[in-house]
Amino acid sequence: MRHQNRVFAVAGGILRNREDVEDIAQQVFLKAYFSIKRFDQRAAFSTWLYKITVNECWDLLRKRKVRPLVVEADLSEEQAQVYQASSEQSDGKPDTSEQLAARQQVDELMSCLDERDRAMLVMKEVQGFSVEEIAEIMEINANTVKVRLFRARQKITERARRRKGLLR
Amino acid sequence: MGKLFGRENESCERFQEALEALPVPGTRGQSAEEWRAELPAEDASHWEACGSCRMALEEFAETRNALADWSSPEPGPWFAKRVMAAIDAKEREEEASDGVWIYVRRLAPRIVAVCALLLVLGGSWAVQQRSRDLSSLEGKGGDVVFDSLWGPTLYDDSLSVPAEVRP
Repeated sequence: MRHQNRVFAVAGGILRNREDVEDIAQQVFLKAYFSIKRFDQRAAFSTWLYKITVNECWDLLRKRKVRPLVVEADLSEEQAQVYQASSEQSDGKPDTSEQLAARQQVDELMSCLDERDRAMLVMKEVQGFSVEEIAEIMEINANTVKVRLFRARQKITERARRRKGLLR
Repeated sequence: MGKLFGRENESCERFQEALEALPVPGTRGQSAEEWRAELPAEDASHWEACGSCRMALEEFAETRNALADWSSPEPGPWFAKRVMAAIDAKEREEEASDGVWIYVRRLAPRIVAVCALLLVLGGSWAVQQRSRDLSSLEGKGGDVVFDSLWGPTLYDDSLSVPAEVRP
């Protein structure tokens, strides 16, 4: 399970909900195990695995179109506490309130982006994927990735600045 | 990428390429100035001349700083076991669903060999049967001029020469 953390990060960039991410990760490893014969050796195994991850996430989102995702940042204080308690139960490592607040802030900042841009930004700026890798995983042109990253950064910065202005 | 900055400029394009190539830092809170120091000298000097690229670098730095607090969900302690159990369950399910076909697939070469043998034996039996039928016909019909299943040739069919034509 060498790729486990990165699969979680890629799925986490798109879905955010912890339970969904874990379900998707399980689905990804299951699919990879049963279709390893179909793996084309020309591409890197990791790229193939992340491509499965992204596709599984899109499938889930498509199924959920009728039921929109609950964004952690949109939760009320009470709901956030419930969420925190559930994450404590599931991984045994409780989040501190500071960590939760920081994560909520980032989620709130990223909520101005659509799932695709959010995933790209996480892959690029957190996971350190190259533009070419992202293009292959997302099955889009490298120039499109660059343009979308550029616009996503603009949106994030604008939102962060506005928030700073409001806080002052 | 030059178009994004409102200019068709090769330097801007190169600057953007260099920006995308900057590695994800181990430390957080790096300013635009610090990022600029990591760029190649040529791109760093372009930064001074180009307002759009300066803004792009600032946005880049701010985004990276904002995302420094982003953490991906971590797998639970039972995740690996959960995956292994799911694989086992699916394998068992697949075995149960096509149990008969698994045996057919395994025995396929033998089944093909047996079929080929049956075909040869059946074919040779059919040929022998036919020749036996022919020989019994020969015994019943007396003199057989032509080897035909329809018996001896009729006289009407034979070529006869009229008497007056004969010399």
